[in-house]
Amino acid sequence: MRAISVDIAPRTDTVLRRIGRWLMSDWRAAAAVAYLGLLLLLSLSAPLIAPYSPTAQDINAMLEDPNAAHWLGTDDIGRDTLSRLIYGAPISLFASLLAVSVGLALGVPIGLCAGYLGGWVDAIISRVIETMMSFPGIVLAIGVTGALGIGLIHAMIAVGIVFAPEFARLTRAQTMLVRHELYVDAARSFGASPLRIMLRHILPNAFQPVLVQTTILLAIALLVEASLSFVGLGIQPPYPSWGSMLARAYANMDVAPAQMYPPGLAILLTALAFNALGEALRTAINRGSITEAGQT
Amino acid sequence: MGSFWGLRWVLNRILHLAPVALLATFFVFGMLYLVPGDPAVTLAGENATLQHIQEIRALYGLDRPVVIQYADWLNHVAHGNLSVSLLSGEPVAGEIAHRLPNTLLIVAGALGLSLLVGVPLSIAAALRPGSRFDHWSMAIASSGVSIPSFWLAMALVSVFALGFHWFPATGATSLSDGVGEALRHIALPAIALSANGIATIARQLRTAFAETLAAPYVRTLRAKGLSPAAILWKHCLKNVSVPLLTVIGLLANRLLGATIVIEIVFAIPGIGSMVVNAAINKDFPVVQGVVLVTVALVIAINLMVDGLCRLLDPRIARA
Amino acid sequence: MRLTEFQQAAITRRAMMTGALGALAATSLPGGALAAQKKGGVLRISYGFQPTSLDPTFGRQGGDFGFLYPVFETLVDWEPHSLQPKPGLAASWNFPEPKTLVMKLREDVVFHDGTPFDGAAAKFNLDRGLSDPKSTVKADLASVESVEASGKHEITFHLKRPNIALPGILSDRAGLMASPAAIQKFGDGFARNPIGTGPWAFVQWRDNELVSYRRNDYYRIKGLPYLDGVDFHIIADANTGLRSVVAGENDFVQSLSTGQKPVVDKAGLAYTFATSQAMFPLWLNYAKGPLADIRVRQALNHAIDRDAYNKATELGLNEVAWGVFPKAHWAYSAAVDKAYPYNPDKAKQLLAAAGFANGLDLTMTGPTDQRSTQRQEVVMEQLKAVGVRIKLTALSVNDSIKAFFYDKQHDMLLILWGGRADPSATYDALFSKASPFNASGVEADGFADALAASQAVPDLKQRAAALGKVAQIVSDNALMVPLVFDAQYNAYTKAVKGFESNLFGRMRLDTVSLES
Repeated sequence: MRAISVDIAPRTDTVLRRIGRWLMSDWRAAAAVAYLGLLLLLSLSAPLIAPYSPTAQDINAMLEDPNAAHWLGTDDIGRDTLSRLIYGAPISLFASLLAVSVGLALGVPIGLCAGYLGGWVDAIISRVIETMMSFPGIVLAIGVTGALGIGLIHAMIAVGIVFAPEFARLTRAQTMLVRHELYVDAARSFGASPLRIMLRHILPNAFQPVLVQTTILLAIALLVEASLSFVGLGIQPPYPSWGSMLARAYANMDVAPAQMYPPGLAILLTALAFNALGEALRTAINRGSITEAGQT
Repeated sequence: MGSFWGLRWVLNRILHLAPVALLATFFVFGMLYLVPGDPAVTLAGENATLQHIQEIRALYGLDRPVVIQYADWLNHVAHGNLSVSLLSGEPVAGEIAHRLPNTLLIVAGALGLSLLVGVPLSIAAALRPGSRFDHWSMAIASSGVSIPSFWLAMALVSVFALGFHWFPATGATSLSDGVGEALRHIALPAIALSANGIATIARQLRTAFAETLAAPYVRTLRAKGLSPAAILWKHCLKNVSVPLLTVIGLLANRLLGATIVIEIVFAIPGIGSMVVNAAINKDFPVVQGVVLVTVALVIAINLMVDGLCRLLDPRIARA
Repeated sequence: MRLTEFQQAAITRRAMMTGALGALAATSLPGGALAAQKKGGVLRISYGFQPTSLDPTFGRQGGDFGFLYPVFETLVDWEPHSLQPKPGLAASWNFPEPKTLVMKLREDVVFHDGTPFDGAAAKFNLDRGLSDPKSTVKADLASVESVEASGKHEITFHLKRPNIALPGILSDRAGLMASPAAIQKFGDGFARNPIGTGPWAFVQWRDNELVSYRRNDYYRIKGLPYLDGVDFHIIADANTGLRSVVAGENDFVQSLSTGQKPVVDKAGLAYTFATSQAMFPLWLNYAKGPLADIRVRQALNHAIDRDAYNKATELGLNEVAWGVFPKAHWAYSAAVDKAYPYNPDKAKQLLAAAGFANGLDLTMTGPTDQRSTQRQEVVMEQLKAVGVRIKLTALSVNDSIKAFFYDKQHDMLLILWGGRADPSATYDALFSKASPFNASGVEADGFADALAASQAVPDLKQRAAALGKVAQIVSDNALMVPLVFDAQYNAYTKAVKGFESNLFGRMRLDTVSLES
């Protein structure tokens, strides 16, 4: 008789290996990853690449159009737009990552508990999730930022809190799908604790849609950071973020309209890359899961 | 019998969701209360001494415990009154009633535009699955989700309002003052907001259409000689109506939030710009009121969408 | 436009009264040359603020004055270009003894509701300002013990201490006169139904949208106002407001920033650009930390290149500030000019002498709007060059004021100082140890005596000299870092005539007309 393996949950590394293979076949995914990689590189080497310091002011060169000395022109106190764009990259990337991390850290465990434990735990958590999701998210973000204090980190924590319900809901739905699978029952019958089951068996299978959602929310976090900076609640001066550069460009729109394009395009392209990555991931995982199901 | 169960279901849902709305307001109240700023300082004015600020705080009851202030507000709401703004003294309900139409007009405009462009686009793409048109239209639609809508708004203002003078750059007029003028004023904001909407509708519906077109009975119909377009019209539309409604509901909710920054760019007196100002100035009653109204709206929209879906597709009712 | 029924009734009543009063109302027009201006038209203004209250005694911010001046007048008026006091609703005044001020009021003035302006009405307003819990002018009237209606058209102030500045104070908010009958009739609602003696009567206020006024046919100065009405359209963003004028949706936009000059020029609009007494300083809390050392404060003053700051934030168009008053002000003191010329090396030396050879960390707060952010960034960069590292915490306007003045959480604040009607009141508000605007709560040596001396002599020239001594003490102790004076920059279509700016930086429309 064949011994039945205790651990028969599908493993995550096969998914990762498949992703690698897929990247080489889907050009959009490859382009997105390449762009994001380039952005990461720029972020890490900003001091080496940027022609000027992001805070250096030149009052004789205010609101200039692109020229030889300043490839993307200057802002209203003579700071080089290209340099600020480059230095803004790590800040914007960090902001998105922070928001999504907070959302994941808060939302996934809550969703897991709600989905697995069920009963009144689920009822209460679901009520809270519904409440938070019927809010206009940006009001919540403004309020939490106000409570914590104005600043990039606080603002993105606020955004993370706004994201958490969505992650929770997704995780909960996935958990409820998975918890009746055979391998979970098997693990339970072997005496595994709920915590171990949730972490070892459910989470690995629930995370795929969460992964896709992560990329999408990375894009949204970028846009929300821009919005919050626009209403004055984001990063503190004099550090550049793409959102605060947009806000400044808006204030000078009548005099130098060209200044709104570099930060706007940077945000657009990066959000696009995140979204494209998410799209491609979703397609790949769907294809992958269909194969999985066929094999069981 | 059917309508009785329908009514029961609606009441059931409302009972279910009312605590949600109230919980939302308590959240907001608590949050605002935690904020370090102090409306008493604002109320006391530029010249105030510390003592004057204390007097103001006592005068407006701002020194009472949070729970009591919240209970007071709840009491007002129970009597159908959303209290008065701390800063202007005007009734919040009146203010909201005055400004909500401006916001709703933009949301409706954006929604309408999204449907007008998104639905045909999704149908066209679904009818040519896998083609270059399909890929490219979906790719462009994807980028629509990635555009910061207020940046698009800025660009539109710069080119069309300031450059060509086709549209006004600011403000809003009410429908009662003339439909044409009102529409001119919301044109640019609605366009800016619709980029996201078009993208969402095009993608979701294309998937829905493609799925229905792939169903076995469609193959039978095709074998009978019907063109895909005819099949779409006669048979698939009903199946797609549920995802369509769901997307509309989703979009409406998302637009209510997205309109906030747009209102600031276009200086439109809607509830979005009102709530941002109130939040920054700690005008509790106004923020409470707007949140309550928005949450109620969102719940109402969800209810309607749910209800319509059940009507259109009995299978959901049984689920 | 609709008048409230109250106003319509008032006009009928007044029609009966004018017959009797007509003979008295022989006031001449200000500056005869204006007689050629056309009557009529409604001026549409883009204004950046919503009024905090249309009740003059309860309003909270300087932006309110644009809304109050059409409806209300002050006991004491002021010269627009120097702010010297002159008769307003009060025809004359004198101090028979240092702690008594007697004011004789005009006898021909009537409120918009037909009730007469007299000693009793004036007393009512002043008592309200002194004792109502919501009054925001209590601090201004702090020196007043009581007010007596000593005659039908005369009031007497009994003071707690001598205060020569009182007439000047009564040219500001504390001196705005409202109708007691209306206050009693409307109660709290008066804030939305203001009734005064001014050139226009209030019509309506739609929150954050519109405040409108229509002509007061019985205004005390015959021939004024020229405009049939004024409509304030509230547009918070200055760019949006300017665009509305360029697009022809409004006639007048107030309080533009200098950065908008290219747009104004390109659109071919008329404009006035005049310095006001409002000033942008770096406020310092010198009670604690490194700022308690005078050398550090002097270093900060030397580290700032005011001309560069002016160029970066105001296109170089505003007046640089070395002291508290601009050159046009009657209390301006030339002696403190250039006390701290731009000298980064000297700044570094002073810092080293104070023990900060390796630089120093300070905290700063201020508002979050883009214009304020721009100012903060320029200052921070200039200070960085001499080794002063600033950690900025930007907050909403009210929060930054509270954090710096009340909670005393930061070393420095960069925010506009609006100015006071009387220069002694200005120094008092800025540097007296008990003033809410002195975050440090301490006073420089000799300041109190010098200030008292400036309030003891009635003659303006002597006062100016005494005030010069106060200015010297403030400058020697480097109690703040003045940067530039704010300019009142307003743009309007060519059809708008007769607009005069003033040193207060507040909007007065009395002399404006519209050529259509």
